[in-house]
Parts: sequence; C-alpha cells; structure tokens
Amino acid sequence: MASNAMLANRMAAAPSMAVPSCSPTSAALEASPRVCGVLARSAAPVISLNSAMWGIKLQKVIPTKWVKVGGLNAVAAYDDDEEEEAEEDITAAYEALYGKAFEGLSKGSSGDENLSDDSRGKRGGDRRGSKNSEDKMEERVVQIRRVTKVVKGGKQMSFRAVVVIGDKKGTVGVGVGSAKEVITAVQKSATDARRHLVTVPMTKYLTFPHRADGDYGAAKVMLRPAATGTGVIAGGAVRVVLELAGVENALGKELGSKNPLNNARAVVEAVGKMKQFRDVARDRGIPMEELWK
Amino acid sequence: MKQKSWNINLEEVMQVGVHFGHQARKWNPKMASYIFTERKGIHILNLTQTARFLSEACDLLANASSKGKQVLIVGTKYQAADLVASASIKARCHYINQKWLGGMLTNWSTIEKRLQRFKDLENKEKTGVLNQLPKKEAATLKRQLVQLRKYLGGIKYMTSLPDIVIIIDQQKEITAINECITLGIPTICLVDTDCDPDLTDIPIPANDDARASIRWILNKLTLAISEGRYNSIETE
Repeated sequence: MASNAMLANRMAAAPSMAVPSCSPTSAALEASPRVCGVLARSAAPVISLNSAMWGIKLQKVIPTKWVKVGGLNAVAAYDDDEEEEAEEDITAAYEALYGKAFEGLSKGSSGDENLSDDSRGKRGGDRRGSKNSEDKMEERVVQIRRVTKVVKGGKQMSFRAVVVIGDKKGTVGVGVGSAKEVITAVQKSATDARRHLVTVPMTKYLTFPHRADGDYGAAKVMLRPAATGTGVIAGGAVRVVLELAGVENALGKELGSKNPLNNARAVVEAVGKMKQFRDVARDRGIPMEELWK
Repeated sequence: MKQKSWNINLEEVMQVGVHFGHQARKWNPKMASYIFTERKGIHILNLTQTARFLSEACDLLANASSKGKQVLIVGTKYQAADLVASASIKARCHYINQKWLGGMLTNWSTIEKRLQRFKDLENKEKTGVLNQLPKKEAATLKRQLVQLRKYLGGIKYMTSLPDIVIIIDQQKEITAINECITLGIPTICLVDTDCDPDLTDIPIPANDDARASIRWILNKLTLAISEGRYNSIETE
C-alpha cells in the first residue's frame, strides 16, 4: 500500500525520534502527555507511542503513571495496525461520554440548550407544536388568504397565514406559513415568526427614540414617535406589529403598497434601524446630553 | 489558557503533501493571501499560514472539549470516508462519512426521529426479536438497519446539535457549511485553493485530496480534542 510505503520512508528518514527518557519532574510538570492524553491498553505505552505514527514527533515525556479515566480507554497512538479496539469498548466509551443514545425521545428538551440565541429563534413547533405555547408571546393573525396552485388535474387550494408575534415588552416577529388547513397554516406561521424576532428600542414613555423609515418590497412605512397619551395611530398591519411590540404611543403611515405582509416586514426593518440615545452616545464616546443640543 | 505548541513540523507536513493546492485555473481568488506560488499549473499553499490556523483550531478544540462541547466531523469524500470514521472513533466524536442528508442540522427534529428508529432497531436486533418474525419482515427491518447504520452510524450518540463542526472538503460539503451558517454553529474547515475561506470560522489551508494530508490534519485535530478532554477530567 502506498501509505505503508510512505510510513516506512518516513521512519527511515526521521532518525530524530525523541526517545522518551524518564525524567519524572518534567512529566509531572506537564500535566498531559504529548500524544492524546489517554493511555494505551498495551503494556508498553512508551514503545507504541514512540513508533512512527505518521511521523508524530514526541517532545515531552510520557508519564509512567497510568490514570484510568473512567470509560476513556482509547488508544494513545494513531496507528492503523496496532490496538484495534473492540466494538464494546468503543460503545462503552461513547456511552460514558454522551449517555445512552435516545433512550426515549426527550420531548424536545434535548435541543433546548442550543435555542437560547435570539437570532436563531425557536426551533419550535416540533412534534405537537408544544413549544409554541411555552413562551408567553401573543399571536395575532394579520391576514389569511386562500392561494391556489394550478396543476393538470385542476386547482389545489391552500391557505396562507400571516401572523405577528409579540410579548408587548419590546420583542416582535412576523411570520408567514401556508398549509392545506387554516389552523395548520397559523401554527406554521407562528413557528416562522419565532425564528425572526427583533427587539424594538423603546424609551421609558413607551415610544420610539426617533423617526424611522423602512421598506420591504414595494411597501414603505414611516414611523414617528409621539407624546404620551397619543396611542398607536397607524393602519392595518403596522398597528398590529406596534401593538404587539408594546409600543403605546406612535404614529405610523403606510406609504407605497398596502400589502399587509410586506408592510409588517417593513415595520420590522424600520425598527431595526432605530438606535437608542445611550447606544449612540456610547459609540460616539460623548455624553448623552450632547445629542440633544 | 496556556499556550501549547501542537508540534507542527513543517518539513514533515511537506512530505505528507499538505501544501499542494488544486489546478491554477480552478482557484478561488479569495484564497490569494493563502497561496504561496504557482508551480507547473498547480497552486502551492503557504504552509506557515496552515500551521498558524491549525494551531488556532487545535487551541479552540482543546478548549471546547475540556468544557464538554460536542464536535462533529464531516467528510464524505471517497478518500476521506474511512479516515474520518477512524479518527473520530479514536477521539470519541460524532462523524458523518457517508452522504450528508439535507437538513441534518436544520431539520434536526426529523433526524432525531430517524435516530430513535435506529435505536429501536438496534435494540430489537440485540434482543433477538428479529429472529422470531417471519422472514420477509425480518429482512425488511434488517435492510432498514443497514441503511440507518450506513448514513447515521456516526451520529448515533448525538442528542442535540453539535457545538463545533469540522469539515473536510468545503466544496463537497457546501450544504453542511450553509446549514452551520444558518444555525450559527462555528466551523473549522479544510480549505483548498478552490474554496471560499470567508464561509468558515477557521479555515485551514491544506490539500483536501490526498489521503495522507487529510489524515495528518485529522490527527492533529483529534489529538487536540482528546487532550482537551483529558485535561478536563484531570482537573476535576
């Protein structure tokens, strides 16, 4: 085999194999052995570790005391020929590390650790859509329309739902989903909305920090802060998004197209462009009072 | 975190053939900073950069595995398949060395169902239930088991999304890379001269065609993983 020939060549060509001399002090200092800190099963670890494993050069000494790390009985050397592990050992080692695989489907909790990012949103709506009800987000359907796919046999109807999700404390998301039934479509769109959440920067008077425009497709939306007591003065989709975000006083106007989905997305865009006064001051390195002069 | 030298000897690296790139006309211009020169129509990679990125990757892996993070190694190339399997078994990582099924990470909930079925079938086989069924059913189930073992054998013990993914050939596993990007999982990738180094978090410029080169790099990475794990257990 070519690889074995190469190995032989390299063995011949690399005479400077570090023979591990037993200097226990240096071994003790360096906590882990140079090669794959888990020890070999064979009785002579020094020799097996030292042979030309693809030319790995040993710089440090292998400690002679063996630590049997529970379950991790792996071979230290990466040699093809020696130390073929039995399958049970491999299984045991893996199970020690990762636990028995899939003893019972853990009802969606196994993926939970990776779901903390806002950007990734929720993987939700898995087996029973149970995740969707676990966070305290309010859903509101903006639009349901019947859409058609024309095939040879006729028209295939399905429903497309546009849903806005928000917790009235500054987080909103817009989602769209389609399915053959209305309820399924609403669920799908809720899952989708959870994947696209944004935070709305709000002042303590529950309004925006400044004016912003946003557009998505042909829909243009203009958002403007308002004094306390004004309420949300906006139409259709824009109103729903702002209300679910928890904004209490704002003005919004749909310029351009009146398509609900696009307008909702335009609001999300506009809100993404907004900056809080304190962030701007921090980024510019000046005190906040300067910004109001 | 103390600085470790991962014992990367550049002469040995050259002997293995890590520095060969692909043909000059198939290159990706984004790799220009990692290419040393062109010889006989083939780009040669700059090994000092390789060494630097490789040691960065090893540091990251050692750190991560000492905290108990899970690593997935993806390599479906014909040359790489068995190397990936043996390397990850030795390092106790998950691996995928047959076809990367679309949505393995983004559609994890569906893959979980398959893994559950895999587990059930394996249990049935172990307890001998399969021998009591009529021949045809037993044969169907056995075939299913073989298929599952082939494609999902390496991720049998994976219960949630991995924390780091190592990818062998970027061009071949472009779906895997895109999935990791959508999910925000950090990736370490062997980039060759026809790959895009911006897609991955730590690109390791190296030859992804030669078995010896892949084996050498996997060696180093799995060494780092095992050392990290050993360190964490020692300090417990």
